[in-house]
Amino acid sequence: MDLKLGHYNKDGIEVVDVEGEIDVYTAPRLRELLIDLVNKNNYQLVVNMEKVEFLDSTGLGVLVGGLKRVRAHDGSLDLVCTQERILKIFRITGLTKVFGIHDTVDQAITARKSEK
Amino acid sequence: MATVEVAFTPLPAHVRTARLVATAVARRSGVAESMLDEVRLAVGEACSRAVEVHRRHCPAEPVKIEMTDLGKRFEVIVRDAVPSAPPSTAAGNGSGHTADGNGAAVNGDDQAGGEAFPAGFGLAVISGLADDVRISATESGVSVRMTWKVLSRGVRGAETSPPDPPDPRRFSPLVSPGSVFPGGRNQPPGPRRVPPLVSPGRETLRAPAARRPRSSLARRVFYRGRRVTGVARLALLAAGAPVVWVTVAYPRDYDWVSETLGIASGS
Repeated sequence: MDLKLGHYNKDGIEVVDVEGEIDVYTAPRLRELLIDLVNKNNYQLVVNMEKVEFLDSTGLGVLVGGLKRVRAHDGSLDLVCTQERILKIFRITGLTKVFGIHDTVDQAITARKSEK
Repeated sequence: MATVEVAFTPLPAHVRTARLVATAVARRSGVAESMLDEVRLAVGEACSRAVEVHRRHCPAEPVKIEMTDLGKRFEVIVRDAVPSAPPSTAAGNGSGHTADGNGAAVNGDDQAGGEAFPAGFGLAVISGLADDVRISATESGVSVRMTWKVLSRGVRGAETSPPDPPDPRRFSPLVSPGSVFPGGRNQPPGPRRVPPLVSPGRETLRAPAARRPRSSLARRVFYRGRRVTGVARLALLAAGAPVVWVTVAYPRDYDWVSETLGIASGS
């Protein structure tokens, strides 16, 4: 399955919709999108992974790279994911402590805005 | 003889094919449905690593995978054709700083997506997914051997064996401070055989059995008689340097995310 990417702005936060598999072949596209969004001064990001079918360490690296980029501008990168098979790799690697992981996009936006 | 053998051109696009084949063979071999996601992820990680090293060193050579139904276990071996090379001396002093050897030069900003993790991270993920993982570095290349338990051969597709107790390894972070082998506080009951050092050129990394509580990242690594820690250790694992396999742990308060990624934990 190819990777489908889309993004839109909601309440001042850029939401990235990801669908498909994020692996060594498709991850560069997600990386380019995150870099492009940051270059366009979007430092508050929410990545919606509810339709992600597969995520490996390459994909994790892209997300961590995006997180580091936005944090360099005092921004944030939160995730939306309820799929246990995707959350598993976050737990294995201990990255659940790094990313804010929420059940819905609205919850992620609300949580981020409440911290401001 | 392997049940299924696959050789593919070392292109990222083919890693997904390898994952799908491995999952299908695993299902046919009797691996539990609940474990197939782990098979897919682990094989994908091993193949991704092999593809990356082939693209740097021998892009014309295929990556090879052997999938074997061993009756009680399902085995996957991913072989690359890149001879292992020892890292520089900077990796040998245990300083924890980034090594300059082959393994450490992997995750630069220009790599396909994996820009933030140290070398060997994929191997560490694999060790948290498979029941048993063995990494062998030889002059002809590195092989990553992974095995999973197979359900008892009752009704095909039905789980006839009693459910396993929850495995804390599955959902505990790679860094599980405090687990020490051998002889530490968490030493499981019964004798433990430390694998002997094999002949030069065929040193083997061996993961402890799945039933023992362990941390996937926490394995004591020695290179040429000297202990190596931190990022250098991960670099050695990735480079396939000859090491002696022992095991265990970062200090209890070691925060690998902060130390290695430079990111403060907690969002």
